[in-house]
Amino acid sequence: MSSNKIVLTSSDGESFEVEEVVARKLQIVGHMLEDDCVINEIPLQNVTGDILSMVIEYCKTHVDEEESEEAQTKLKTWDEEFMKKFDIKTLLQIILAANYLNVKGLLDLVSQTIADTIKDYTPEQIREVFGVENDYTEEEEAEVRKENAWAFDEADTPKP
Amino acid sequence: MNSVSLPSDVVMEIMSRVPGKSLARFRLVSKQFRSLLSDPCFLRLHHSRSRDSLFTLRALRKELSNFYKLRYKFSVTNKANCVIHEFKEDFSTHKRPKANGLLPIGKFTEDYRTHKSSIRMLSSHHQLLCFVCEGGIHLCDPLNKELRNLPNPTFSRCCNFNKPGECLVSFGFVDATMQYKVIKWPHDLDENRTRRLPASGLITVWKKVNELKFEVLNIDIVEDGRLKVSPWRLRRRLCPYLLQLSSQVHVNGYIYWTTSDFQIVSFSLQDEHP
Repeated sequence: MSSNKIVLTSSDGESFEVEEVVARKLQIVGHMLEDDCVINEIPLQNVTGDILSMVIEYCKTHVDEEESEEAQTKLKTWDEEFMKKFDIKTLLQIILAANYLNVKGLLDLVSQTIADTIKDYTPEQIREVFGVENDYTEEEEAEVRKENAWAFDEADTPKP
Repeated sequence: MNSVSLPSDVVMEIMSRVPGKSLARFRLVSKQFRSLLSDPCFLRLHHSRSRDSLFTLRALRKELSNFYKLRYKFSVTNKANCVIHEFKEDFSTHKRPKANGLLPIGKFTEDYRTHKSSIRMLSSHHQLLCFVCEGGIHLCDPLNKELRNLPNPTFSRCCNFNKPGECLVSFGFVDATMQYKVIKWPHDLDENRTRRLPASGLITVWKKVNELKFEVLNIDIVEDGRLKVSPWRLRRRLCPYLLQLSSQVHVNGYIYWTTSDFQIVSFSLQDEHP
């Protein structure tokens, strides 16, 4: 196995030296390496150093994914603990990076974590977190709320 | 703090993983959000990701003493035993009233299950439950809190809903067209009911029925994830197999049966063809 090192540079100029196998977990890097195999420094324009370091941490842990059930369980536990470290704003930064760098496993993991976090949010909270402008008029909003009234009640109480 | 603006494919990636109830609430976020969450492409992704939702349907059956009516009280619960939807339905019956009884339907997943009780579970797909009981064929959408009584098949000579176990109906989802389909099979094609023709001596000849006649009902997912039920259509197909229709198993858009000579026949829900 090649122990070739690759330097990844973030948009704010921070550099990370990683092994090629780790860098290849970022599909964007994988494609670049296939096109021209003599690159050893790659600038990544759309991601800052603090976020890139998280992505690299994920890739290092997932670099050799073993099939065994024990290894899978261990990875899953690691994933859960890893996700607990971040607030929703950071998670959104990570998902953007995972999408840009094309790290499939991380994209799935972060999407699910965000979905679990926001599922009980109100529309107002969603607007704030996702930076969405409310473009409904008052009447329209009342109409949509009426149509979906069932989703606003609090009937989901556990039964003994 | 400035909020991030996410590309719509990332928003879809996240939103396809939230429960249906949250989706309905998020339609209120903005017009753009609403159209994204109502996009057929998105709905398809969401339906396919909520495959693992497991619902439990419990039914409490009460026979009302006057007018020979049956009252069913249903409750649908999710994995965490939270009640998602409760509803009541009255059905007419010709049977004499009996004592009240609780019919536990049990847990079911994507698997097909048969119950010898008076409710026959067809299967649960994505977030829909389909079942047959005295009142006919029902479709329950617990997340939108809707119970639809599907129209009774129009062409079949008889379909005895008082014995739902004998009413052969399949329910499935066609990925390619994003449609649910309910199919009513003729019950006299069941192996036990195939006409026996006495031939020479001790040999019995099974008369093969070459034509399979069945009815299909399409259910489309329309805007906002609502369901649109089309009328029943009668279909005739050549089918040179002797099917044991009650042996059906439904997997990924295909229905499989065994035949009386231990072959397996598949039926494509999309093409409506065996």
